[in-house]
Amino acid sequence: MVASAQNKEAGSAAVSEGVVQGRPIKVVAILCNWCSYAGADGAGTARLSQPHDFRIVRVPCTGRVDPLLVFKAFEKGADGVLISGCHPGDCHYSEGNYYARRKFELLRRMVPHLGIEPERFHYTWVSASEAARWQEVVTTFVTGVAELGPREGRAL
Amino acid sequence: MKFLKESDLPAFLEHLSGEAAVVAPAKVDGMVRFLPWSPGTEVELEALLARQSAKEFIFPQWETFLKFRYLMVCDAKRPGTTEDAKMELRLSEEGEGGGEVVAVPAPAAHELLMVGAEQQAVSQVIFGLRPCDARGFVQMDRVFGGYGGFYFDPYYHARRSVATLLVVSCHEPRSTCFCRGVGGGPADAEGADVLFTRVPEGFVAQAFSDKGAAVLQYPGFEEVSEPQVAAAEQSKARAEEMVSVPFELESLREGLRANFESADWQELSRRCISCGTCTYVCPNCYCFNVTDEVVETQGERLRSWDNCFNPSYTLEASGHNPRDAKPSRFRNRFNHKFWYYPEKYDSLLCSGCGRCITYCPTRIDIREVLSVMGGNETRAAGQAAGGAGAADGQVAADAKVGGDAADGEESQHGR
Amino acid sequence: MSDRQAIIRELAREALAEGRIDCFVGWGPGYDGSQVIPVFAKDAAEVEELQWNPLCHHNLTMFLKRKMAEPADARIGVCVKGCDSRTLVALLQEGLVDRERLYIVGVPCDGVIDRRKIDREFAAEVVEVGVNGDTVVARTAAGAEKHFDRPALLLDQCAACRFPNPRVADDIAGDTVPEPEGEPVWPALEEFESLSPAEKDGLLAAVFSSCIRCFACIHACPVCYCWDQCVNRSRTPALVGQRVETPENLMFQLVHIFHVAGRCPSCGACDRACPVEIPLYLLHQKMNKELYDMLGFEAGVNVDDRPALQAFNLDDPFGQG
Repeated sequence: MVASAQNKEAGSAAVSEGVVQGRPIKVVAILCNWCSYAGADGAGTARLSQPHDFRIVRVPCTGRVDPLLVFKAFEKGADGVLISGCHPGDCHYSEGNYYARRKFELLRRMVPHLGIEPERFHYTWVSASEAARWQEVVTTFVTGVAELGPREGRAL
Repeated sequence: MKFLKESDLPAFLEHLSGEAAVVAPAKVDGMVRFLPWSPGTEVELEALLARQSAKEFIFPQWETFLKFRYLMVCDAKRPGTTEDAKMELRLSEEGEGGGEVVAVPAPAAHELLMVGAEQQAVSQVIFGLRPCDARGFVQMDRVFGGYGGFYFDPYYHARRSVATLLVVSCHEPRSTCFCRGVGGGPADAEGADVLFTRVPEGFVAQAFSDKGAAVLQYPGFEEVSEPQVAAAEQSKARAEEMVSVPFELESLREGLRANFESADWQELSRRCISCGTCTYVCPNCYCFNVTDEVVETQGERLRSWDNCFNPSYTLEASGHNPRDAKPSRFRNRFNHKFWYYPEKYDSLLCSGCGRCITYCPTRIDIREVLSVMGGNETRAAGQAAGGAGAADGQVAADAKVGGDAADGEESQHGR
Repeated sequence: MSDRQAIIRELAREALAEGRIDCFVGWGPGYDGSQVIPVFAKDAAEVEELQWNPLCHHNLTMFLKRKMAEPADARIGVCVKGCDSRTLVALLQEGLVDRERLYIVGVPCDGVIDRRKIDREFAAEVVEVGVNGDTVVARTAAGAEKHFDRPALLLDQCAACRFPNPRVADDIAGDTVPEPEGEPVWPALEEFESLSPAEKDGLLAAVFSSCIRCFACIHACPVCYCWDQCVNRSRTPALVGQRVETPENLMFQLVHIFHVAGRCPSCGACDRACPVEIPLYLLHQKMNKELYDMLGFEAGVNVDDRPALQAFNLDDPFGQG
């Protein structure tokens, strides 16, 4: 999915270039079904413009997200990984994101240790009604990754 | 026989590297390993053994057999219908109304599996092998065929046939060496194209094959002198004396057969943690997996090393696992090397390098296992098998570990 | 030190003689006078082989989960140093070993010798190591001998050890040793942490290209209790493939490290088991450093705690961004 230059005119929010150094950047967004996925869906329904170069993986809950999945995404060529779930306290399954919060924080601290720029990983909370917030979150993140360009690591 | 000055070794290797990729032992971060050599790399020959054997250069830890892609060529149904798509062909034009039009069936949808085989092999010269390393290749040759075996492996053969093995005999065998115990020796030439023996200021070199004779054509070799030949013989004899023979070979196969159900396998395997280190550092362990790694519609078929301690080594597709228990996997390795393989090929699948002892995380000792299970020693607590300087399997000399001098001598035997 | 050895033997002998245990796991002599191996004593004669000295590096807790030949209801005696006891505590925290069936002999530790530090000083093989107080004498078969200062030979991690006394034990082999106070420090990480991301990537790529995927690290780890069903071996689905090279090798190790997060005390058993000397501590020590920074958490300290990633606080201050 390559964002074309003409969308730059169309969107109100900044939209990433998408194509950097001849190849599209690849961002994986892992979203929990109940809040963040619904929020992203809401952004789409409201026609809020978003970058085109991220792909969503829908999970029932961020509590289900193994930090290894993030490393796997990087290993397989992701340039950035974004995780978003329900706000702590509002988890559809009550506690999933409380566990997730600790795992993701550890993960966030380990990512730069592996030679991956810290801006390539982000975790946050977007609720089902926060379509505009989703637009902002994903646009900021993907733009940041696009600025860094495709990831060139060899270790992972 | 010829003589090569020690100082000429780099030039010699550089000469070889003109026609082949040269591999030699080098010390990096305190570890000696076989690594690709380039001018300027210092060859490490003081240390006896590189951490791993050089088998990975001829039998890589993983390699691609072939790559494949799956294509759907066309859709055979007319869109929106279940009717076979048909092509209409106007066969001829004759005046108004046209000629005959015949409907012919469209070609059926077909799948195309495109396969690209991979079989490139680069000429290699591996210098600095020890006799046990070279012998490992000869033992694997029998399995991978083309050398009288049951099965011919083109991938192994492609590399093996263009590899030249330059062996350097051992000057100071380790206490874990037992090559003589398995029919080898520290100056054995089995598998060597050229055998180098260290003498003052250089090496005496002897060719054992056409490839080896060609190597000795290098103009840097000098005529060998009598004293040099004598020094080489002396060095070999001295090294032979230092290698122990920890178990009897005669009774080994029968002993293993007789002891198949013995509970001692449980005892001997107690501290084994069932990793795969011993098989991976071994010069002749050759078990492998073939797996397809597929992403959507394309993939590669890989061969990679397997190891018999892997809990899923004999895991079957049904979920049944004949060697679920650690002692049975443990037993299998020794039986394979000293009973099953010898039964097929009339030779052992061990060259006595002792790496499995040195690098095992819990120092399982193959010599002890074979002494006990090969039937020529009754197991008693605290008895050792083999040791530095023991020529015929006697109990190791007293060894002291730890304790204060004031406590007096505390002798502990190796197990 | 040698009276700890005598005490260990005494305790093991009694426990076996009184029928309180079926097997006692300790350390004993290896194939030469410089090697120590895990030993499984089941009678008085085998108890005489038990040793205690600074070469006793194995974390014997690794045998407790399904690696022993004994039936599941056997009673096992085990020796643990401070770091080892933390992995045992981690197993107890998760209810993975039955405390009732264990007889734990805790051994207060003055530090373990890093064998590699000795081996590097010799071209030939070291066949004998003797420890006399603070002097260590190492000898090759040919008789070449060197003397070392014991503190200089210890594992790097021993210098920063905060738990030299066992955290859980039924009996202690001798007097406890002084416990260091203050915050944990991570000197082994300093050099790596000063590198740029590109340099870290380069170093990790070089280091992990040596990995031979032997699984020694995973099988030697006491809290990697999946060991024979490790997801690293799974083919369908395959988390890690059969290519033995980076990035797969680093992914393999990340599976190990992240799965033990919150239960790993950086005992270093994995580092010592690795046949190609990969500095795994760069990963697990960093992980533990971050967990401490996040939560003040140290793994395996109190049996009544829960591993950090298996618990949460409603007001964990993370993910504000």
